[in-house]
Amino acid sequence: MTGELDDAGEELFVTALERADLRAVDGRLVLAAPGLRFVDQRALTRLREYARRRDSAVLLRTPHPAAARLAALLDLPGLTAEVTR
Amino acid sequence: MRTGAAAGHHGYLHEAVRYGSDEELLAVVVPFLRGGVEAGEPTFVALGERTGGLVRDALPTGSGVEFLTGGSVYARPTAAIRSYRQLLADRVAAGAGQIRIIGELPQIAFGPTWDWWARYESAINHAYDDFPLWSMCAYDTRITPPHVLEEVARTHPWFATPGDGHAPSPTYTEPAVYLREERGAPADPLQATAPLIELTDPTAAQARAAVQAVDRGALPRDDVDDLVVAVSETVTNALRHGRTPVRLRLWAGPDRIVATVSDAGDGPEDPFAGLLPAGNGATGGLGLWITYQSCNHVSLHRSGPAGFTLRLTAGNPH
Repeated sequence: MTGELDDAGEELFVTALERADLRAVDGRLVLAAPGLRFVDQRALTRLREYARRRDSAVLLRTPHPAAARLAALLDLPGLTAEVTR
Repeated sequence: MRTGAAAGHHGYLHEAVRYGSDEELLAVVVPFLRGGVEAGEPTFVALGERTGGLVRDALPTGSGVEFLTGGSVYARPTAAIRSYRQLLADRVAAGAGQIRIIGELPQIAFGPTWDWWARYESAINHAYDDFPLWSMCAYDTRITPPHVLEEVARTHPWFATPGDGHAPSPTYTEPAVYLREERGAPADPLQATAPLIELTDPTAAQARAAVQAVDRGALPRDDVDDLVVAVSETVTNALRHGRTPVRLRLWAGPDRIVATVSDAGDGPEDPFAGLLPAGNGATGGLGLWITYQSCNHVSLHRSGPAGFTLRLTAGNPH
């Protein structure tokens, strides 16, 4: 997953997630996004909704501390973001 | 069960203490705190270093009063609301019938960022009303400007005085009314100069790139990245819920970056916008709530010719 995720790409992001048909491991989806330059609260919320439809939690791995701070602010059950270097 | 002056009170009892000497402060605060401990209530102090030390010295060792670090609690209003609501919810879940807190804003809050602290003092009448809280907000009249004291009277329904005195504030104004007023935050001196970048109807991506472009490396990376998040949310809100034209202006000083986002609309309808997370995402309230926690100052301006303007500051707003 690369690029920027905001309002403009929200529907495309959801479609892409549906098509990717991610499989949970031990009840958790892991999304590695080393090339993701920006993610907004709507995209994070949609990611979490997607995981819930699959009865899973979701972990976003991102190089951006700001994305992890945003996820912590939102404090949505089942959504965590982890900073990777 | 409620005790002391809050006996029979439902929800939040919010009092201000205007003190002109250290003795006057202690005469109100010490009995308040001791009464809380004696009643078995969680009892907290969130004062600055000097006044916190005075209170600590006036209490017996092992008094049972818990000390929070006032400076970090009162860094940003929305974060303060969030952490206090969590603290209150935890204590109520643990069985507390009442919680007592004495707090004091640092003096720096009475400067150019006072408008968002005034909004805080008003909003908490609602935000803490879910809890059996009795709190006092201390204001030292020797160092608090008169215009701030006027706002204190309008945002606190009660005043506490020595000798267990409790008097209603004659000018107290309901938050739903107070928070819709123009607070008139002073212009940042940078705003008297031409902006480094001005964009009309930018996309959120263009707005983010503009913030990165004015960054001269003076601020920590995290501060700039949080401003990028805030500007992105604010421009998205303006495009979604405001009226065009949407204008983004950016200035950079030696210790800060200032952004203004204007649109021709009326701004958020929810008076608590920014201070509390909006339940309904359609109003854009969540974006403003995130913005309030991602900047060192946010001010709302409704009276200008531009319509509604939000000003965001990263770095030093003082």
